[in-house]
Amino acid sequence: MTPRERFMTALRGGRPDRVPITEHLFSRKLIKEILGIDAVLYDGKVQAELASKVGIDAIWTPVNGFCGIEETPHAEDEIYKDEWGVTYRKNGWPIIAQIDTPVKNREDWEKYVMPDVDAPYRLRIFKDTKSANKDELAIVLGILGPFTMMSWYLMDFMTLSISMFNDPDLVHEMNESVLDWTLKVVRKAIDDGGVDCVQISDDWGSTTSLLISPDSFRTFFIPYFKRLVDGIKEMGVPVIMHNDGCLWEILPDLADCGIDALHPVERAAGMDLKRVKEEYSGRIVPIGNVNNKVTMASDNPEDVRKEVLQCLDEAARDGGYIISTDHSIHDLIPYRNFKCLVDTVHEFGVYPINIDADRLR
Amino acid sequence: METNLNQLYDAILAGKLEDAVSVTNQAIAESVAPQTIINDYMVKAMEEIGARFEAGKAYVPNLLMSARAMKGALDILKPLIGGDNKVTIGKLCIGTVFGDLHDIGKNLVASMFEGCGFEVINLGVNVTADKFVETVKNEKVDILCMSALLTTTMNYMKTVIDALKEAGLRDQVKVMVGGAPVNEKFAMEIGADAYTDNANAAVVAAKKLMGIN
Repeated sequence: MTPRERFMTALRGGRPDRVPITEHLFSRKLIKEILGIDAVLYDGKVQAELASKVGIDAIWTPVNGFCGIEETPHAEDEIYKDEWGVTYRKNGWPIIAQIDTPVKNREDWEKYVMPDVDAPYRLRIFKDTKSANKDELAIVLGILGPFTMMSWYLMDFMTLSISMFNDPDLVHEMNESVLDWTLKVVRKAIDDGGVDCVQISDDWGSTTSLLISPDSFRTFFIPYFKRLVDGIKEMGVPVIMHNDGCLWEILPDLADCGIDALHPVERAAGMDLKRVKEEYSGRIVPIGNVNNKVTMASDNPEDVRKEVLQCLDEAARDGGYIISTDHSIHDLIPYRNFKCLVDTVHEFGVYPINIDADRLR
Repeated sequence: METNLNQLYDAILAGKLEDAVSVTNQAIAESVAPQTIINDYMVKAMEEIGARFEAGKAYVPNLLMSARAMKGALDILKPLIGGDNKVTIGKLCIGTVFGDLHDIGKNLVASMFEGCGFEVINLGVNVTADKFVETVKNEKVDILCMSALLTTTMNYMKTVIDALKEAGLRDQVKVMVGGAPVNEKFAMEIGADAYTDNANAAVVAAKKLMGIN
């Protein structure tokens, strides 16, 4: 199987030749170590080369306009705005945290102009990824979901909280506009060819609970999220939701929205892989679960090996599981640990899976 | 008609700023003692929303809205209180450490502190050790709170604590830490006085450090 076939088979719930591996963000330090390149912007060619080299099966490639990812290089600490009007101070890579948001009230929204869907650079990273994808990896198109756009980029959390109480229509109107924009951009990418699946990044949970109540999600976000999922699936591609944090309360709703897979099933937030696999068998393919805060940063690769084997044992036996860390590869994760994850999957993740009980201890 | 101060309790619990302000104004007009308004109704409402949050029955937006209503009412009462009747139960500064720009969680904690009666100096994000030390020295804060959301920046918390020691200020201030990658073990290792994993617990811990309750 090609990496793409392997990834897509598992994403559809099936059993490929071995468990596919994915990862959506790599540290700049690791890119430097592996490719000898000092990554400045998030570059599609570099990401494709990196994914092939580290031995994973898919490449995450965001649309241009994915908030937090720089369009042009900025100096350290430089303050700048993106096309959404979100203000950042350059710090960190590849996703930069915002320091101010454009919409504080209805008046701001009435003056607000959405970014141009047809901007010439809209699919730059995606097109670069496609042209550099020589090894037939799956291409995962990255977009942002309604809650992250509303609570983190267009509005801040406080403004959103106040608006849900005082001006709920404002939240609905903004959601409509963001949904329309996002579906148009996805359509554009799919028409361009080569999108294997779409990953909607939308973080709903803290490490212990949801960020807003389940009812608020149902009132203000799930209807738009569902329309986003439906719209993408009508275009013929499966949908992965990236949603970290503790999500038990809302998981049945996400399944009803029709997502094909859930990433990253965050172990550090109490998301039990075995339980997700058992309770949502045939509905949601879990992706992830290897703890990136503790295990992946461990001094001892043996810790990684054990946890990878545990994940394979709990979720991979019948197919329908894709392995990755439970968030991303940050600066404190040494390459030897990531290599250990990949090597362990190559050794023990080949179907049929047989892992001795002894190895799991 | 005499003001029903239970309406103030309800307004804060429901996060209704305008209602909280209007009931408070009415109570002031009727010469109700500010200390009574604060202690018997406002603080009680914040304790209740905190308890609901702990029990998973209220969420972050509820805390934010209640804290906002409480602060709105408190702002009206502040000028009326003098002498020994302090309106605040302690003074603290809070900031996200140098290198880190995340502030949603930190601001929520700051709002809860304010809502629960602390005087808060919010130093913002990317705060250096020098800035923390200067604030402790000049503002005589009781508690210094630090936040970090990145595993790469949390180690700076130790830099701040070391700088406090060097400036001879460590004994004058309690240090609290929080943020997604931080845990109790780390907090103790770097010499902090308390770690909490949510905004409500932070208020409870701060009160404990101040010797209240």
